[in-house]
Amino acid sequence: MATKTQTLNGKPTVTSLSKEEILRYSRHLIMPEVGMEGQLKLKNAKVLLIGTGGLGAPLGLYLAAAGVGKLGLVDFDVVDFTNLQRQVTFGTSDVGKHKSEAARSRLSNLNPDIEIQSFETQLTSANALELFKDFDIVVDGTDNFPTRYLVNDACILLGKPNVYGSIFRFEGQATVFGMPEGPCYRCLYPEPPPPGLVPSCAEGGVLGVLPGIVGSIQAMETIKLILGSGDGLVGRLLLFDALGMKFRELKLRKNPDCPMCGNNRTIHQLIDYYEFCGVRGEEAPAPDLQVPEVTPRELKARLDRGDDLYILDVREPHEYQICNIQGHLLPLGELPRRVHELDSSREIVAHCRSGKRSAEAVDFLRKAGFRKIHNLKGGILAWSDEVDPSVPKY
Amino acid sequence: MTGRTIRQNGLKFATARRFEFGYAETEKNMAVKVIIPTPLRVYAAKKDSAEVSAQTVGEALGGLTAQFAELRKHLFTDDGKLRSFVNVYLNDEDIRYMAKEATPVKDGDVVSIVPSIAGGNAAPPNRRAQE
Repeated sequence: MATKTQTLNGKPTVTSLSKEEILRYSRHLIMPEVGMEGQLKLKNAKVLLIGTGGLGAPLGLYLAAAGVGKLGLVDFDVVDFTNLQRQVTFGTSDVGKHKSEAARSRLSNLNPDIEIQSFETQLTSANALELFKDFDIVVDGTDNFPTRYLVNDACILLGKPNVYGSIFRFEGQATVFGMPEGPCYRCLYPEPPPPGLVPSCAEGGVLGVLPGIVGSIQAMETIKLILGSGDGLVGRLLLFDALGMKFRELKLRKNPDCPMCGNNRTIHQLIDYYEFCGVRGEEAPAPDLQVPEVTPRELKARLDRGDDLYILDVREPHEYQICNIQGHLLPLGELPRRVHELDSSREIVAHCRSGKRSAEAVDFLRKAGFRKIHNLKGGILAWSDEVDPSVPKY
Repeated sequence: MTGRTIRQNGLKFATARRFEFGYAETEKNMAVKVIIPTPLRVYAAKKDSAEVSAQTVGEALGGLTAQFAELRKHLFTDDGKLRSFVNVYLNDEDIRYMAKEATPVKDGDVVSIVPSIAGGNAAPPNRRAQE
């Protein structure tokens, strides 16, 4: 068995590996860049993963396999079928289970010699500092702006490195924030984009392999931080274009005026990040976007009655191929230049997948003078739930 | 660092030349490539880059939005200022640490728009919001 000794600060530090561990890590041990010294650094390292989804999958698998001694897994979510296309920690039998627990189970099977703690909770301003304090490195594998700013600020407050990775469709970014000499997330992006300006729902989706690649880069950077070797991504933003299969890198500078890590820091504690990002549920129409609505059941009743309604589907053509309710396809992005194709004298019901894009379409058309126009509340998802379950959800 | 020094020298040279020849000298426009990031391609006819002719980074972005009008509101505020969450790089340097939009460009330079992306999981956003 591995022996433990006491260090000055009272935390147990492992100073040797068991016979089984030496065999398990032999491909590391025979590398001079890792060796016994490096492997012991890995075994004594404590890494917290925020998110066990697309990025968290390769992160968890590789860090556990590499022998990182303590892994924390923070996720409040539950595994569903749409996760399996890229979240390779999970199997079909995990659907319905809590992600943090399913991941803990998978990773402890991969490596029973490490300690894995699962935190089935949403990371918030109230719990972040408490959660982070027992770990050396935090890895950001989340999927939304509020949590990214929260992870950044908590890391800066506690002086912990933040291994950052982010993806969008075919594009990825990775870097290391929170090192004393390096920049933080706010140096790069002082503030988030307003909700709705960067396409999320309409242009969403991700190629399954992409988080695998970006998460693996994060895992590599984490291991290099632990080993203290190589050139890390501190001060460099790695951009990855999967379609063009191109890696580029940009210089990241520490912003002297950064409100979080600059010379005159103005942020001294965690804030309300949802308010900061202006997000209260990305898919809900913005509060100022009050448009006339019709529920799926009302629409069905009116169609059955033979009312003359023009169903306007503002999704993208590839979404129409997945499922449709025989609407006339006119993607939201093309609406401004194709508005003349619509007859404002007819009664129109606009819909999208969930009701957000069509609310924008209805708002736009009302401003363009259309009066007899409604938004299908909840979109085609609600139509599937309330009217026709044979319509697939996506 | 080398690239930066050259550009700084170029800037000095350009300034000097302007003094010397005044308005009689029309400075040559440079051929610049602007890289359009994935989230903005939907507003740029799905293109991943555009060739523009410009003397500064600001002009290069202006040339881009002249080609793709829908991009304008995603890059600039109503009063024409670059949006704070849109990062623009000339080659590998952040223009915030150069002369911002007035940063001069030379032939073959690459201007990159680097927006913040938050994805990691890409679950349908409405499901996240509900939970």
